[in-house]
Amino acid sequence: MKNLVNKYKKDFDELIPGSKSNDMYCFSKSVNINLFLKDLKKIEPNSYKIISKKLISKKQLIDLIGHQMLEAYFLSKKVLKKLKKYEKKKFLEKKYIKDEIKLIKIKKNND
Amino acid sequence: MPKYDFDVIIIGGGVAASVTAYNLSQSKLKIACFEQGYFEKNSSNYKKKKLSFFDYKKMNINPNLRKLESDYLIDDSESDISIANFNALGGSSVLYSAHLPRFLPKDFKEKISKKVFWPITYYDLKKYYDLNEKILGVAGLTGDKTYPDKIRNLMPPIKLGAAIIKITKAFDKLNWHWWPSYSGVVTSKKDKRGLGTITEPNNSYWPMAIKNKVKIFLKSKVIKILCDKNNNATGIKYLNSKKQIKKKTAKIIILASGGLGTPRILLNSKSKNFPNGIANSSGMVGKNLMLHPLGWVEGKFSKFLKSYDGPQGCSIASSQFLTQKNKNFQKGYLIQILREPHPVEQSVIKNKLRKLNFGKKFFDNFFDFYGKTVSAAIICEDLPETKNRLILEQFKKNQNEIPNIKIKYKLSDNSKKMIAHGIKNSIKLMKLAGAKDINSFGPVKHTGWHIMGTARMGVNKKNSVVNKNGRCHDINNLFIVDSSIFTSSSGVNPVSTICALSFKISDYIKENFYEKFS
Repeated sequence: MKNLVNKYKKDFDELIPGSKSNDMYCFSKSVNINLFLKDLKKIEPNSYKIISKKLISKKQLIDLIGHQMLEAYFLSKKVLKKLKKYEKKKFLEKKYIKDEIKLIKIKKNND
Repeated sequence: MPKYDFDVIIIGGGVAASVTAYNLSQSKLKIACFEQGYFEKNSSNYKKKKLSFFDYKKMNINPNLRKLESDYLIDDSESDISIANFNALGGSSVLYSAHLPRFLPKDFKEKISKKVFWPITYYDLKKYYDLNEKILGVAGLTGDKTYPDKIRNLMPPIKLGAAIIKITKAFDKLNWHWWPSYSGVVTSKKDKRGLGTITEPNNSYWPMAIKNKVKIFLKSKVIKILCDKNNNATGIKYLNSKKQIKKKTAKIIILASGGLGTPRILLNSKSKNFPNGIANSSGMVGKNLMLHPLGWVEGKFSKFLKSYDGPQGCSIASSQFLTQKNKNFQKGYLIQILREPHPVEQSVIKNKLRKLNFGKKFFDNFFDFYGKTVSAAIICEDLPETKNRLILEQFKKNQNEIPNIKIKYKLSDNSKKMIAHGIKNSIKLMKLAGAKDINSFGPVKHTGWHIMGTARMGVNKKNSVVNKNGRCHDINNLFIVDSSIFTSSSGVNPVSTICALSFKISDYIKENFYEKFS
């Protein structure tokens, strides 16, 4: 498994690279690749067999386990923490709460 | 008098089974429930959606991909819509969106044909709808004119959020009805389940039924219902968790296995007296499959609106085109406004649509839509048609001695017209709300959640399977409580109506048990 992690770490990180401007981690900094491959072996044994037999290209990786990579990445606690940070920076909650209270009040009275 | 193992056996562990077990458990009856699945600890609580990759994969909505031991394969190669379900205690509610509106009075009143109609009215179910909203826990706002009566047992409505507020303003400009969703979400601090918890059988009915000594057999697959020579149901044959074939007897058998599971067991319970399966003298078991065809419109706004914040399926809904007659199609559709899915789902969808590409621009793509999208789901009332059905795969018996099933379902012209109409209107709505980038498609393939009509209710033995009390016309002590007994489908989520019907039927059983079945 360790060899396999070394084989694909670079490719995984090129597919989901870190971004300084967006303050997001790359794949290997968010997902434990060893655990990801272990789970993949249980869930998608055929795909695992292919990637473990020989080194496949990035395009083949996308076709074969692209969706699984996305799922593992966006389930990562580290990534979700980063997204929470992004939300705090971008969103003005209070402005909309006032709007909403007013709206529901009108709705209740009208209907 | 033969000795029975139980007074009542319930087959299935989903929503209908939970309500029935809870209601019957308030009497002194000895009750057992047989569920083919297990207890799934990962509830659908959106705020606690922190699953591992492995746990997430085993929660797939498609049984053919999930392939858990509790699942059976469903061949949908001849169906326009594929089935989405979950087999476990709690049934598909383990994954549901918890959108819990009632059926409308007109859904029961309007006849399908001269001979096909609901033998009950909205008002027969009213007190049971009230009861379910109180026990399960439903959030919402009193005063919706879609219903003639005031729905009062509600927790405060759920928070809408910035993106949904934009949509409500567009509805108002068009003068179209909208109302905060009837949502199975805890919004009251008094509720011990905690704010934001999805209300489901596993945190409401089942704990109470278990406390009242209902015995639950998990990982127990019922193969067939057994009958005596007088055509009374006597018990069940099942495969237990150790894969041994066993039998249990009861005075009453209740089927609560859902729109697929129930006809599957009925059709598989063939005998000399019932060569086409039991309760099937009408030939209607497995037919009239209704699935709520769905259209989809997604609008993307230019600003970050945190549009994922809250339960995805519960925000607001519009019954404007559910109640309004249209000359181009029969019946109508609900517009259900959906929040942006969790990034784990949204990223896969966007990748499929080539709007999220791997490589250098990955995060530029991602933040172009993240927190900015809202969708409208057009949920169409499906008409019952005998050609839409399920059949047993007779030549592919699986190891459990119960065949897998094949779905034969074609979208009607009526549904196609309705979807087109709904998409056109939802695009208009999104534009008016200020969405800049709008995508639409329909029918959506993987949306066969609401499985109805495959053992329908009616007064006529020749075209229906059960009577108004859920009792099979052919077998006096066999009842069905799940959505297979629906005569029509409405255009709204069926869970509230399943609960109300289960209450009504189990009340009938409680009231008549000692006189008629003991």
